[in-house]
Amino acid sequence: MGILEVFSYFLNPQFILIVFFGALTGLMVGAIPGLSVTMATALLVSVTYTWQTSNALAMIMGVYVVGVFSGAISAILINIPGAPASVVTTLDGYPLAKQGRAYTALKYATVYSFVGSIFSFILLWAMARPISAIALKFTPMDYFLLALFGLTTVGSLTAKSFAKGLISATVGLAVSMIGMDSVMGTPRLTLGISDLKSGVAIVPVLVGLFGMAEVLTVIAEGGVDGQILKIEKEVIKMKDILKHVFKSLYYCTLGTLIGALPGAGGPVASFIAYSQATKLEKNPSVPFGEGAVEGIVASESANNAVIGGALIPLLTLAIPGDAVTAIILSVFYVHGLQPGPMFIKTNPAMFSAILAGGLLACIFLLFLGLVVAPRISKLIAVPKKILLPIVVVLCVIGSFAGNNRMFDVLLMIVFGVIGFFMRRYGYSIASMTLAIVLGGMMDANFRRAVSLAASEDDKLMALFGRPISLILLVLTVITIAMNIPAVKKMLQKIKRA
Amino acid sequence: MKENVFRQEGVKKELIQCLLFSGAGIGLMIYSLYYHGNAGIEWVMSPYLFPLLISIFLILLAVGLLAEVHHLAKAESTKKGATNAQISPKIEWKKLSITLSMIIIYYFAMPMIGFLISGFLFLVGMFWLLGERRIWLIALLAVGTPLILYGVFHELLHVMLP
Repeated sequence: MGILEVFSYFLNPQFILIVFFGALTGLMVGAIPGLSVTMATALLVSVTYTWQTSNALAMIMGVYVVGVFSGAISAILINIPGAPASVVTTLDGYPLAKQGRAYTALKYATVYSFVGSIFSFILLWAMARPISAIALKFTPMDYFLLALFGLTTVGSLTAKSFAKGLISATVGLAVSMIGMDSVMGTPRLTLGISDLKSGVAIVPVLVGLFGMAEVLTVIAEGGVDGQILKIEKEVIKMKDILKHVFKSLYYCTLGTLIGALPGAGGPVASFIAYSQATKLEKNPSVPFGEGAVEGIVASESANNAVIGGALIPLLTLAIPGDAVTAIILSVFYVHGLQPGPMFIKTNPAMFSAILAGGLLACIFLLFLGLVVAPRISKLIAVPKKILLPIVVVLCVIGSFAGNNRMFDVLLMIVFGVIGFFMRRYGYSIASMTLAIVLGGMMDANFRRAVSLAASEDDKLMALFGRPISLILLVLTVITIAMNIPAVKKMLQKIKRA
Repeated sequence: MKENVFRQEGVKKELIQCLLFSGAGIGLMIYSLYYHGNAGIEWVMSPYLFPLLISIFLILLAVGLLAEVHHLAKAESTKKGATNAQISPKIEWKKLSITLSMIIIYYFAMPMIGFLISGFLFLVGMFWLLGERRIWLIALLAVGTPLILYGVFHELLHVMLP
């Protein structure tokens, strides 16, 4: 897979156009509170079902890259983050906009989202091969433990309570068990419903958990529409904007590393980068929280750098880094592709398509952020009473389109209600999504590992004796132990002492 | 006084969740053991091995959640803790129930009267429910949206519609 193959997509007008449409969609869904990148990606899985895989990936990369950025637009203009990753951007973006400098805030957000995205794609390019080489040495038990480690970290980072995070993941695993068992061909947990024999289709579940649940939550909680600030054009020298670029590379590195960790994602990355910025910047333009551009630089560099980071474990180990990459994984499955250590070798064209789509989306991000974003403030103000019913119709189309079954629409509604209650009571939807996507793989690998170990004399050694297995097991145990309240308390006591 | 009621309600809700998940875990365990027994194969090959492990985890986690609830109740007695009921915004249950009912009616109506008409009726109802009162706008959006979606998805993208 050479650089030329990636850049060959830059000469393909259809590919470019699809990425552009994806980017435009990403700009809208990211900027409008109530719509999310995850929701849009979930809907796109069914729309792009019949497309060529490279085109489907192009569209999704456009939505993903620009959608993560555009959450900053509403964060800056109405103090409501369009995406969870932009929460930290509100801290300085909105105060800056209130001072009449919304244009400056948007420009900084655009440039550093671009820097973050480009950085992470370069790192993806550089790191994917070495990680794939390591992943080739993984045994079935290693895959099982890796997925388990992923679920525990997601559980610890995405829910208010660790127990609830893990319960979400466990329920997700149970849902993934529904249907025909892949090894013995026995139907499991179908409750006599013939439509469930083929398993719970992932697309309606995702559309329900992210789309319908969001609609129900906003309606039930009576969503708040913020007041939009005016944008007055300012002259800002590029030299001034780019003087933060070296520090932003540090935030990008943090973002990419955090992105590669399953479950952490944009919100955690931007928060950590922001707290680092408050320590690194001794003399910010204005104090942090009052409109410091340094805060926007940190938040936006880090949250966009998560994208490439989240794609690294997805492509090399088939372990998604966040909810969007979990949906991208389902795109691979829908199109008959199997990510993992051999993916880059066996599907170099798809890897190139992802990189090309991502890089093109970065360029569109810069264009849309600088030219279109300051002009779409009126669109952000689409009242939710208009938006939400249309989203419901889109959810119906999205859930039906995959298999052309009304049962999937019902499934979407059921999971929408489940998602609503999960949000309401602090259960992590991301954990559940990841578990549903990974459940089948975990089951198959676990049983394979146990079957292989059954013929060995020392079964425990056969299961956990290898260095990779041992490291993963220790990491999982540490993650669980560190999140037990009693252990947490004890550690705090030791720290104080 | 009102705050105290909220706290108690929060603990009660968490307790119900513990019971719900332990019940689900026990149910899954019984299911796995029963069907494994009927299958008559070794555990290592059994399709019910992983569901059994999931059920054990679920029960353990429900116990873990119970410990958290205990901690919460303790904090409540010292008035230090904050419960979900306090943090979560108030829910408009009536609006939510009507929305869900309309979605379910929409679901059943679709195969009977088709995507376009059911979509029109659903959108009119929803716009009205959510507070839109401009008739011309409701009519325009309720007619236009299903038509545009039909054009884009069915005609342009060749996506099957209900």
